[in-house]
Amino acid sequence: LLRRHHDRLYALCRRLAGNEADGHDALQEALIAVVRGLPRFDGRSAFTTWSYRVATNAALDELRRRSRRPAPGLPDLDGSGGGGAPGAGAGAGAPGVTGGIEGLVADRLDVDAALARLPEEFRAAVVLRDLCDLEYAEIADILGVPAGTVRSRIARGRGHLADLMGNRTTATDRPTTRP
Amino acid sequence: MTPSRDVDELASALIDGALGPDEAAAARRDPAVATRAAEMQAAREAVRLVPPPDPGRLDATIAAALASAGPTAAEPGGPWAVVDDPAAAGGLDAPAPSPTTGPATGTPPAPTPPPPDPVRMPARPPEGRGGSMVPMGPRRRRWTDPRWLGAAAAVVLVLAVGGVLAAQSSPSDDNGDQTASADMESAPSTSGSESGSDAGGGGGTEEGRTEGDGDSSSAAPNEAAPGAAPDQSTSGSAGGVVDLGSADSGDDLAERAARALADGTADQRGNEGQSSDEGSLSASSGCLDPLATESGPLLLEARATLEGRDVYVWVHDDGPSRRMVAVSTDVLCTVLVDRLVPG
Repeated sequence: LLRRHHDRLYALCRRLAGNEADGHDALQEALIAVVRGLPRFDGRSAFTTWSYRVATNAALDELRRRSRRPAPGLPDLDGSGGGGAPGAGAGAGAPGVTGGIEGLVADRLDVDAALARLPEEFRAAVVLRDLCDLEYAEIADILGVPAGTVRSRIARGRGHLADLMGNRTTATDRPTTRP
Repeated sequence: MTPSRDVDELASALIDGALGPDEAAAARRDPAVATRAAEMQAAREAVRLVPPPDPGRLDATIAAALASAGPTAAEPGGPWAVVDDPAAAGGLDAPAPSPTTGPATGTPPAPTPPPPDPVRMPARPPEGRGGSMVPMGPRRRRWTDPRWLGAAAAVVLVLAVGGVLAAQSSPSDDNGDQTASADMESAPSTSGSESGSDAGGGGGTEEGRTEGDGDSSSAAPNEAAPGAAPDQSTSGSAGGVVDLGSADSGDDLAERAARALADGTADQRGNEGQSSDEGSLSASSGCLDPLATESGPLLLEARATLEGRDVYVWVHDDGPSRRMVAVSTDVLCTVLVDRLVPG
């Protein structure tokens, strides 16, 4: 069971955590929670949805825990502090949205950086929707918010993400919209 | 376009297919919405490109998770369900669980391998595979009970088969048991094993024959008896068994037995009757002497045909008289004649 869902849960944790190391830590927490929570899994929701919920909580928990400890890695290059994203400066930094080292990192780090700049609730909604293909209702169930809120968060999160990533991909065509 | 909706919401809804046909068509005709949707779609595709996990860490991660559930959870089919940690409840039900204090912090700090090529996140699995899985806890409980029920059923089946086999092999066992008991009962008048066979024959089948009961335990030996009958009938006395010939009635059979006794066969029987031949007849015929335990010494053991039916005949010294019994040679070992022998 864990092997079957390992890669999907890792992808979710990886995207929510923002980097590989934290993604693995979050995945570890998620798998532990899955193992421990299986006796209470009542089958009302699909196991995939339930496991995504567990992984989401584990990953967000890892983000909060990470935000409470100093980041020994790269400095916050743009000095923005991540725009509300607690893990923006950990590991990947935010090179994708800075002009100085643009192009020196892989695309996925830009995605990580862009996601890291999203508020946590936006990031979770966008990842659950775009990565996990969950429906609004399922995301609402996972996040504990109304479906309308989920739709709004997804729209706003996508908008922010498009702005952040668009600055990199179309830097010559349009001015940056990043504050 | 609906004025109240901003471009991002329309573009997002367009991506998700949440717009109606008219709204979607209108949104696509709006350049701002179309451009925004394209940007969101590009970002969406980028989000879905997740580098694959390090395969070398998969086993360690899963093992650590299983180890957190208990000492035996890591084993195949381990009892995950026995773990009942309230700390995990937050991960199941609460939107924002409390910080986990499990051993996940012990994730081995493996060196980061070179980043592999990103792979596209596969589409969400159909619910039929992962989504409709049966909860492990209840499923384990469902497995447990049938397992014990199956074991119990297997035990019952083994006992039943054993009982059937024991029943099929019971004639010889019964003979042995009955011989042993008859030895004790008839010991004063006869010697050891010789009388034991006779006594055992009578004691073991007395009830069965008088009740007309023909169970399977006596079936097999009786089926073998007719095959041996011709040889014995033609010899007149095969191994101590006298052939009385064909009798028309019980009286006729009794007279034939009386004549055999008078002709000296009785002496033969009286002198040799307690030999092992008696036992061989009982054993080979399958029908045991019903008078062995209730009458005196055996005077005559014979075969005959009574009204067309092959019978075994035993004559015992019953004090002032001689008592004869004739038993059918079929599987029922039915007592056809039980009367005194004249003379």
